[in-house]
Amino acid sequence: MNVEFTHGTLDTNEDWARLAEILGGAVIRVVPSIIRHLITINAKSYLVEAPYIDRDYSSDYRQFYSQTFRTYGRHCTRVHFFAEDVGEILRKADWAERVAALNATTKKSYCGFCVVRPLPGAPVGRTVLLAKGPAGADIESAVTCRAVIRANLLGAELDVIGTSFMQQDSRVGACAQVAIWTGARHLHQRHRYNWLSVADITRLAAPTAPDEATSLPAGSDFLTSERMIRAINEMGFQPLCFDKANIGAAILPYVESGVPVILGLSGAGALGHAVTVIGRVFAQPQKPTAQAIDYIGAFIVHDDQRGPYMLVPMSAGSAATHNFDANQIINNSQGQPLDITNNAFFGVALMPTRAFSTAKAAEITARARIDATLSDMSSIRAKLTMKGADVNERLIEELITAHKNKTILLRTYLTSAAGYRRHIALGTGCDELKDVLLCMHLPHFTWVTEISSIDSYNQVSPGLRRIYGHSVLDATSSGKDATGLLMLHLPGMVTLRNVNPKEGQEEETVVIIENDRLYECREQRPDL
Amino acid sequence: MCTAFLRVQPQAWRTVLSSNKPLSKPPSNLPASSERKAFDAKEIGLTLTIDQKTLEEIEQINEETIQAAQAIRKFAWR
Repeated sequence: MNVEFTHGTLDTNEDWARLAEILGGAVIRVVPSIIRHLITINAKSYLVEAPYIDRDYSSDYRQFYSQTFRTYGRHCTRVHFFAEDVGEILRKADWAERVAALNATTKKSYCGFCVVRPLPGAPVGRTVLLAKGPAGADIESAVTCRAVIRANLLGAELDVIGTSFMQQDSRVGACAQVAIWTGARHLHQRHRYNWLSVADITRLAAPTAPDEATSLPAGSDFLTSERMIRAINEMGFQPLCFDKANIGAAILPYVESGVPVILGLSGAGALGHAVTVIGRVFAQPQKPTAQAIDYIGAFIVHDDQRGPYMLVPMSAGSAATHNFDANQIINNSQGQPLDITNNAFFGVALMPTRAFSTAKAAEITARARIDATLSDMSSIRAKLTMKGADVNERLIEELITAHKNKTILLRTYLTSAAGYRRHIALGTGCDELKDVLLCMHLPHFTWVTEISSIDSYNQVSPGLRRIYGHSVLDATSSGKDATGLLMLHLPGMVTLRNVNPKEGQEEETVVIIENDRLYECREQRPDL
Repeated sequence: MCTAFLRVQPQAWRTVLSSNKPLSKPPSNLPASSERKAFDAKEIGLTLTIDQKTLEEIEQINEETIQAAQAIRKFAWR
């Protein structure tokens, strides 16, 4: 039996309707959302590959569908999308020529794929579409949990940058498992963590209390918060929970770090709905404040019931203020739009195993040191002048003024030593600063807190957001460790900690940066 | 005659390591990239060490988080 291929273009409404039928029908709630996203990323044609053996569906099939009286198909169909009409390529004389031409579409016009499962109520299996969030005059999006994902099509290697999505089937797993799967799959694809299927996650979320064992197979209908946390721990991540109070601000550093966060949205009674936060939308506020969360218009989420790259606005008014597409906003079962402020009341981040302190501890630590240093700056400058060292007067004065006016804005994120050095090396800091920072001995993970003012940060274009300095906290410290802060850069000076000083060496050293200047915030590069 | 086979092959590791030649000079350090003014932070009045008040603030926040998290223990997600 050969694999069969069919090709279609996406020009007319009829073409889109035909594609919706191939994906399982427009009555399936996630299908219109997939179509909406394909229109956003400018898909022009598709290629259907059948049959296709999908590892995720095969795992679910082995653990559940092979045991049902009703016969379910073992094989799936995969639909590939392109931002060009690949009809010309597919009309070439033989497959060798076609594959060579298809290879040229990778990272250029390849928009991703959608696996269609032989499950009538839940056809949309593993789906990866090119990552893209809303854009506009006052908004900028970043899908922070994204990876290069490769599809092999008859030997052609087609790469797309995105986040894996899947519809829940309600038999092997509910939204909780699929939300965890989305996060875990991202960490597998980006950082080589374990590969886990939805069935694996259900198995790892073993019931241990009567109220957890009320559905068959156990966990197919819902998961309690405790079971979710148990599963995440068994999967090899550190679950880190957030409660309702200021949940948007609490999860933001993790979202900025590319750490997936499972977000619990309120539903009826004690039943809620879980989605995975994979990015954020920067939106210029009408009244800028010194809080990083006030610059977030919405979080970008994968919702296994509503579709990929959906939005949960920060507040009830955010959608109207920033003109978000109503079809992209998550609604409850009554059709009411949900938002972070009123509807999000539980979060859990899938933390890597080698980070032992939280973003909150890192930011409180950084803020305390910045406050103390800027408050004492006149004395520090006098001592430096006595030693023949001058710091950049203009920048430090600007920062002191911002400190007095309470307009200093801090932004914290977790990064690896390699990621930090790459950002510093390629960034716009002065060479003297790079000289000092690139030689620092760092743990695998660090918390970085960037220091901006409202004026230097409040820019729609990420390339224009500037910082005066930043701090680096050892993420392997407890967060309550007095010596966790490794570095603090303020205009003209870098204070460094020598964690393991030898005899005669200073524990903390101040290095003067003579030609210091403002430099770029770290932003996610679209090409990774 | 095909000349591809006549290329000099790299020495086997046993040959390299069994050489009786005296050790050549050790690897040299890279030159310092540039001179910068540096001082003991204590002399300048700067420190990175976190004060007790901040540590207590972190501890307080942690306690509040624990209490709030207990309220959502049994919530279910579907």
